[in-house]
Amino acid sequence: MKSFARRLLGRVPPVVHYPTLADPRFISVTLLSGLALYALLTPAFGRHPAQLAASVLAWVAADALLLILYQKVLLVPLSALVPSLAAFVLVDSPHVWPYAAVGAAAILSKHFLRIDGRHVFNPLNFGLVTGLLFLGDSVAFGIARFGDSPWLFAWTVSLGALVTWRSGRLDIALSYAATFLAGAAVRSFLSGGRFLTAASPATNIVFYMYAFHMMTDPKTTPDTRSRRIVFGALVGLVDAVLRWNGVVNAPLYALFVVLGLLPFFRKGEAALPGSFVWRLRSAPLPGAR
Amino acid sequence: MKPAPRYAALAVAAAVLGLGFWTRGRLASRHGAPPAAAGGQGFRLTEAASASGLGYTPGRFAPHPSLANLAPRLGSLGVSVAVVDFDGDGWQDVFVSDPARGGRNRLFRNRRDGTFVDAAASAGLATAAGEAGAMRALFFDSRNAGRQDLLLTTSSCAVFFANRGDGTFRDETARSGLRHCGVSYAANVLDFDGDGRLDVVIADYFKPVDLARPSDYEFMPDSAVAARNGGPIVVYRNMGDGVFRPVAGNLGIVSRGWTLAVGAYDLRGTGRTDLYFATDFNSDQVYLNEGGGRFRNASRLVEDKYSRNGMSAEIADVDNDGRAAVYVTNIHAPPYALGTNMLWKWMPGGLFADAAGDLGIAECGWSWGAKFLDLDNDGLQDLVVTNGYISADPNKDYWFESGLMGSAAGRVMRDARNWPPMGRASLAGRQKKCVFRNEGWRFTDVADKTGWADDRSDGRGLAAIDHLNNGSLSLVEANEGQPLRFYRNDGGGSWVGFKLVGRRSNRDAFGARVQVRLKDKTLSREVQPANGFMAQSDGRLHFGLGREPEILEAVVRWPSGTEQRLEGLAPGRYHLVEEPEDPAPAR
Repeated sequence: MKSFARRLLGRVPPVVHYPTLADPRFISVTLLSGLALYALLTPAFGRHPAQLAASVLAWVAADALLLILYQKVLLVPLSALVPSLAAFVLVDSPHVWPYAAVGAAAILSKHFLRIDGRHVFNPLNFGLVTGLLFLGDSVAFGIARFGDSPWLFAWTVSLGALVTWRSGRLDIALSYAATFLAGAAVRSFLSGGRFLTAASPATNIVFYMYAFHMMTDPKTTPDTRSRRIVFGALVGLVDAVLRWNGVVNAPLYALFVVLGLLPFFRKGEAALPGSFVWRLRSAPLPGAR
Repeated sequence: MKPAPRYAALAVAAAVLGLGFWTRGRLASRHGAPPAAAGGQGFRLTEAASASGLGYTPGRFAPHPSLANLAPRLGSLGVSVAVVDFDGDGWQDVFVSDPARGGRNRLFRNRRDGTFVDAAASAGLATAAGEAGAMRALFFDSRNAGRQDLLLTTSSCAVFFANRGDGTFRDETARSGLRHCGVSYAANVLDFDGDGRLDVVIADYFKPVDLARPSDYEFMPDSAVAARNGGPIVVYRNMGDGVFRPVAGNLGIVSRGWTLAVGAYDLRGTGRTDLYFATDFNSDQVYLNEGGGRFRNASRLVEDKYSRNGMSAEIADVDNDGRAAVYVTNIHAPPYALGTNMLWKWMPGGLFADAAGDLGIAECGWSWGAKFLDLDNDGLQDLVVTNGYISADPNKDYWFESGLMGSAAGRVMRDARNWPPMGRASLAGRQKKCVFRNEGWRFTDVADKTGWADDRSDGRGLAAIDHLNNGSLSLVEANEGQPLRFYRNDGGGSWVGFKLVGRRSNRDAFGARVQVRLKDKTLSREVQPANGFMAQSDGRLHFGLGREPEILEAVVRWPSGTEQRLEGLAPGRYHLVEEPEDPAPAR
């Protein structure tokens, strides 16, 4: 094991990055593990343990492998585990392989679509968008699978809000929510429909998973508050325009479009490591001299 | 940061979205590709509704104006078709319900020359539903009198018309006790208590609501995948002399609603009729008949599955192994809905296994009616599936709005007033039908080669009929608000048929099984003409014999338990088989 790791890591100082207990991603893992368990135990979800295994393995293994090969580091794979659990819940397919395919696409985007050392697209969003667009015969967005359980709702909203607050990204979620509701009001006014109908996505748990776990990823959002607020509002605005035009899964495409503008948001922001980093602790590779 | 990389990210986003939507568009147009040239099959289906006197366009059910936002959707179901020999002349006739409120049903009498003429008015069935919309039609001999009575569900309350035996019917709704109120698309009959009389199962879709004069608007489903707020399933016991009463305890059947079809068949080879309820917005329900009027809920065996829009429950012995399988249609409309049709087969060990994917019959659009029948008389039952939901303006679709409500919280979804106006939008319309030819180990879709390629109707019920009594099974397709289609089968081949008449069992012989033994295989069919979706087929049993026209014997297992062996049967004709009066129990 030691010689294998050294061969992979080469001359780069062999270190393993451990998350500290203060790392907010532990909250995400707790939240999403609960949702994944709910999905597995609820027949209406139509999920299978093999799909969970495919999702987690694809994300974690691909991320770990590419980190070793290209960045010469070993990481406890929280950054891959969190979206892999979310993808298991959000990807809706009767097959197993799409869960692996979405994960592979997401991790490839994370490692190869990078500017100034940072990935541009949120991997979960990238995986879902490419899956929906290119594997549409086998992949759908599992937004209709959640029931009405108030406990599940409370679980998702409370822990989601907590992790977003701890990551310093609650302003994005609030900005998006406000813009979404304003867009719903405008759409209902213009169409003559009910506001409750236009705003009904906010009654679904997936709305909060999206707001707290996809669009607020610290790695793919601006670092300054004003820009974050504009970022969230812009996603909400594009979302509203797409919904007005009847585009199914509008929020996913809205975030994808706005993430294409992310480098412009980051212009002038401090380069790494001044911007957001997860709370990690580094240590020598076990057995290294 | 240099400008170029910043623009590169935007370019990647634009490229992915552009390429993705372009690819999806290509995929969609591929699904609607024009048909290939015809020819090369063992049968040929010719659309001949007008030429055969079956030219008829049923109306659509129109709800109250306050439900105008959902009018296309609420009017998207209702038409049904039933094949019946209503006048007892030995030739199969066709009844078609008219879902329009105050509409006129059709009863096409077989003129024995390949054509039909409408006799609904003279029979007294044209306006059987009164001011309501007519829906599910179910013919059966309620008194074991040799006459086919009609149970007709409507948009309001069911009606029951007794057959006088002279080609006319009289309204006996009040006397019969079958004034079942509710919107029901599903009904079937079985003799659950073995008393020789046919009992009735009616399953409602919506919870009790008058769509023509609603006082409560919270009748839509409260979940897209786990709704439990639909209407009841009610079992009526036949008390004799055309009188029915609800069964106390309802055989233990749990009502969750949203039932679209009731399938009846002996699924396990026990000699008893089990029940399968194809259910929308939830998993299906299965009740296994334990005998003595007791049923066991086995729904958990088909619960843990992806597809949640059961539409049809068509049942047959697909692979001639003596065991039946339930074909349940679903919604397959990628990228919006990825459900698939299923073929549930009871396996040794007490499990249902789905074989639709392996057999190549899992995908056929937004499927509705399905029918197993041997189109080419090769001894293997083929499968025809009709589909298409709402075909209106081809440039507008309702997928966004449908998805919006399908993902809303239950309290929002169930209120009909919250649903966005559908207007002239389409939803899974203009779909290509499927004609799956049974190749023995797999099915192949030959719709393009059989004369069914151009059909883009909003298909609902599919009924098989041998209208010429010549062993070629044709099909009648009822389409919602669109012309009836009649696919005449001009094929040939060797065959044999049976018309069963029960004596100790119910006279229609519902639940009777016939096994035809050939040199190296045994074919099995059960008298269950009212399975499928909104359709009733020819009640006689038909067997294609393939290349082995020599029939060694046929064995009839009657619902009473009597087993009857028939030898020296000649192919190429229907045999009238009457149940022996003297019992010879085989169970």
